Amino acid sequence: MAGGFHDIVIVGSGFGGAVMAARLGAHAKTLAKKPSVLVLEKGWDGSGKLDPRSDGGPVNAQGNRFRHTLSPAYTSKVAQVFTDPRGTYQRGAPSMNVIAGKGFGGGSIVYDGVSLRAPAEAFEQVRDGRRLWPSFYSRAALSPYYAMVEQRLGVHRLAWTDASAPHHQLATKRDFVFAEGCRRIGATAVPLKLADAGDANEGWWNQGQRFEGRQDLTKNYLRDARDSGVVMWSGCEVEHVAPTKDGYVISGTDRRGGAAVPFEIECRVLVVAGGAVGSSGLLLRSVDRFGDARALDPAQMLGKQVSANGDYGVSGVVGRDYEHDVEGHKGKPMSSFCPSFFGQHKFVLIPFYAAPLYLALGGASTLLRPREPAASGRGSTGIARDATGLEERAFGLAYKKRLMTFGPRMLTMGCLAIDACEGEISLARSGTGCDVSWRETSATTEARWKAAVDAMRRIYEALGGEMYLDAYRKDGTVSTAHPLGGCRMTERGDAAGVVDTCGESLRNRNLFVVDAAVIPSALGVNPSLTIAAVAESIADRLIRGAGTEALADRLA
Amino acid sequence: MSRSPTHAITRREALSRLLGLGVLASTGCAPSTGDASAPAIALPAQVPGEEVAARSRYADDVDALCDVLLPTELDASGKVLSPGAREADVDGALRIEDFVAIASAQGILPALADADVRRLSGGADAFRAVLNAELAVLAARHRPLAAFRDLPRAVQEQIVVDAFDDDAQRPLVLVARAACFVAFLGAVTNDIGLRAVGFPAFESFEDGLAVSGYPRTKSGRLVDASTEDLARLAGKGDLDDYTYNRAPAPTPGDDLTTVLDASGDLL
Repeated sequence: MAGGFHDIVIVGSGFGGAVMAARLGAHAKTLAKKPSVLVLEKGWDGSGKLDPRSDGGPVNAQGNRFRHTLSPAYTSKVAQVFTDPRGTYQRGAPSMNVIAGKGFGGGSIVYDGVSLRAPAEAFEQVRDGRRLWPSFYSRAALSPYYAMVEQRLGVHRLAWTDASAPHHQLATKRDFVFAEGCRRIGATAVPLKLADAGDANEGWWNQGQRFEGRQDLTKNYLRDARDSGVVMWSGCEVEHVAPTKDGYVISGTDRRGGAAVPFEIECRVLVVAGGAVGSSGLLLRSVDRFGDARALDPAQMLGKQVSANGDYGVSGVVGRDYEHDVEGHKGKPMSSFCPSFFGQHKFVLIPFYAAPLYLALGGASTLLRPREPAASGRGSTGIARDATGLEERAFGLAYKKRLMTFGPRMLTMGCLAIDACEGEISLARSGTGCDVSWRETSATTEARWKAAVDAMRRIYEALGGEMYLDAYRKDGTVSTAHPLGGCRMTERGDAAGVVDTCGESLRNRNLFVVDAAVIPSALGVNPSLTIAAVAESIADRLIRGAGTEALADRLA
Repeated sequence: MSRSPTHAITRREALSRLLGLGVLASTGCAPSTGDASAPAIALPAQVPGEEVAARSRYADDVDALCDVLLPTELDASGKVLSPGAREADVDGALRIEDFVAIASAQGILPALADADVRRLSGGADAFRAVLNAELAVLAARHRPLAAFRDLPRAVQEQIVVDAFDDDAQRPLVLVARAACFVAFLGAVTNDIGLRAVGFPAFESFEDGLAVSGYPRTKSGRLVDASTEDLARLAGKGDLDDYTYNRAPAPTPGDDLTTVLDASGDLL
């Protein structure tokens, strides 16, 4: 069994872990004792540059291992899907699917670079008379940290025309078509703010883009961390954490080199940053190793009140009477959005590139027509029937022809909304990993999704096209790429969460959670920028000892 | 003559059941004994003069199933009008190690019961053997002694429809369908399917590199925007560009100042 000691161990390398690695790593260099920092990542090193021992296929001409393929042999290295195999809503159908990045860079290796600040009212949400976010957090309080992240990720606002911006910073034809659809229903699309690395990009996995041009955390925060001497191990899955007299012991399996080698590493300061599902699952597995005095979950809130960030995706086609093909696979995967409905209905719409493979197989949306096009709501309609009374089939020549028509004219879009956090993360019944579920949808969330689906359907129809059947209306399945919560932040002394405003466990000094898991509400926009800004804020307070014990003292 | 109280089976049913038992035995799945309540297998009525398929052009029943799921479109002379799963190398997708387990974990397949994952795992040959055996049983229910690959297309499609509706058979066709679409749209061993649905050919398949979003000429030549005049190319109609100087018309009456700040964030 491998082992050892590091002063600081960070589990996970996404928008929480990468920021903490960069900031704490840089700070550690300034301390007299030069404390060591280790990042453990269960996925691979797609950059080919962070872990010399990483396995994972040949490095390509761009110097990394990323490939444009959807072969599951490859995609299983960069992403994973969590689901609820019990099918709690409808027999045989999962009730929630969560896609998460896997590898150095976490979610950033599968994200589209969308970098919007969360609206002020996201932080001001109240439930049962209690503000969901701790009082420390507001849009204004996070503003300087948003600015830091934007600077490091190279965030800028895209433009519509070549006259306004370089070619690689333009919205796409897909967005132009979307904007016209919005205009026809009285709404407006505007260019998005995006993190990119100076590339025109390609709407292709993962999530498109020329490898060296697409932005992810291996090019900025993680590179900074490496340059500060932070050690990074890929292929190391942490299975449990447990308290020791002076810190924590982390146990798991190191799969580099092909063999599964168990490891136990001790540390003084532990930062858990495995994402909403990963971090919640790790702590759920570890609860029994903490006694009552150091209970990890004194309020029984672990895994509870998980948000899907209101994600709801649909696909469809624009009509042939509309002058343009969409060519949705060209250009950046996401580059405009429609904020017109946010004031009244608390959602934004975003057109995006979705791989036809996933649409053809119907995990989140399908290429089938709904029986009742205007239906909305969970499990509200089924598959359309043809003239002979038979349901449309998701196979065969007719289906292939639809796919071939769909290619140039496909328009996929989704909403992100302020949902009411109805999800839950629990230990998997199969004994490994986690299940995620979404048993009931509140009236609040349902109303927002109904309004969003109605708006999206009207856009398709305004463009002479039609919206296909999505998995929520068909099977009741919620699908999200933006899970939030599971280890919610709370004020100390308030039994409404798992960690305090610095992400520190309420009863375990030096055990932090810093990632999507601590976000206590839906944000209504893509959350990566906010997760990173919260991490910047926590790192800053830890380093300065502002409102919490300074990192140097914790390591003394 | 009075009928026996026990149901007499027809010769066709007997053949069908024997074939099914043989297949089950060969796959190690022995039926439970004493299953007297099992429903009789309903056979379709014979239709004199029904079309009989030409001798199969398929290697096996799985090959034929893949062509049902994602067909090759042929003209009357047999020329390929549009490729299907077979041209896209569905065999290559099925050869992916642990295909069932990782496709399930990737959401390409719905979550399958552990027993199904075990039954359908064990390598491409093992999966193929199980699927061929199951298809033989299903085909025999429709037409004794006929292989699935030799049945008329309408019958093959009905078998697939029925299998999707059957809890026991659904995992099999789901896996086969996933493999077909992964091969066709997933750029596993080629980009034939993607091109068929309107995507440009890969720039370098070996290097896993799809075409970039940079501006190109109509002939596909990459334009260097830093040295070439995009406006001039566009003026000549030689710019195959999807963004060049497009701007949407403003939306009358939609005031975004109440929801959006100057930098493009929600307020």
